[in-house]
Amino acid sequence: MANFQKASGVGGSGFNESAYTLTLPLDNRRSIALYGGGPKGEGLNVVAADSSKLRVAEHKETRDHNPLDPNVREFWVDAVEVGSTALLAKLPDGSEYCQRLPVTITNSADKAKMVDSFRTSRDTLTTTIRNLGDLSSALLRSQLNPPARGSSRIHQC
Amino acid sequence: MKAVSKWLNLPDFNASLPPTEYKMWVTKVVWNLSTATGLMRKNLLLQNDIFVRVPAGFNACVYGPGSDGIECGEPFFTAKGPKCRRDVLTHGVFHLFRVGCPRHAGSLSPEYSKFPTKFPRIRTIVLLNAVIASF
Repeated sequence: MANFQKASGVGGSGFNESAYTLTLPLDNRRSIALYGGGPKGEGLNVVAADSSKLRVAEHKETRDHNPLDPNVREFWVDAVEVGSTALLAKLPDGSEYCQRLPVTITNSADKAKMVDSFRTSRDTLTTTIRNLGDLSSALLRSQLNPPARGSSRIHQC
Repeated sequence: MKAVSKWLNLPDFNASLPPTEYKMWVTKVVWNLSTATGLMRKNLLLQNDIFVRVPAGFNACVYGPGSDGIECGEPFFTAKGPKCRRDVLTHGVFHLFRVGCPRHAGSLSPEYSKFPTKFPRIRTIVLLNAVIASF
């Protein structure tokens, strides 16, 4: 039988071993480890019971880029909607082969700070793109009338 | 022009270039500018759902091409001002496009050093960020 357990490093926070639960805030990522596999050693598919609330993706090494224990796999769990769901580990035939891990996603305002920073980043990029475009146009026009030899006007613009 | 010339690693301008060579110089420069703006346009196409918060000590991290977006660490939320956060995300997004950055090699994440710099005339996103900051 397989079981979920705390992942290595700080990403493993949020897992409560005694209660066997995972709690994470909205728009946050945590790691969870899965120990073991199927009865014949087959790899289990780890999915969310409600995929609208969690995104799950396996990563093949620890956050410090060290190899994982050969009996352990680690998964990134991203919270995308507030509420409750569970993580499941399934055999290739679709049957569950691990105790479900209840997951609670709490509310959080983290998204706003990231989105606002990205918006200002894009505003700056838009300005830069426009200015570099103007510069390209000016240079292309200057090909029709190259600067007189010895002139340094290009560097002065 | 000076900032762009310096940070985008443009070919040197020589004021005494004859017209034919001047045209070649312009062609190279415009190609570089086009490459840079192409990267920036890709950046603008990204959606807001590529960012997640993680309980880690870095500002932001991209684990590698094809990874799930950009992780923002604790300092991003607790210690950095708006302009720094803006620059952190700008920097991080270019990593998603495989632009390398020697600042990270062998330090925070060895994964960075594996990134091929696909645009050799734009050597690093450190330089690209400098251009953006100059406007």
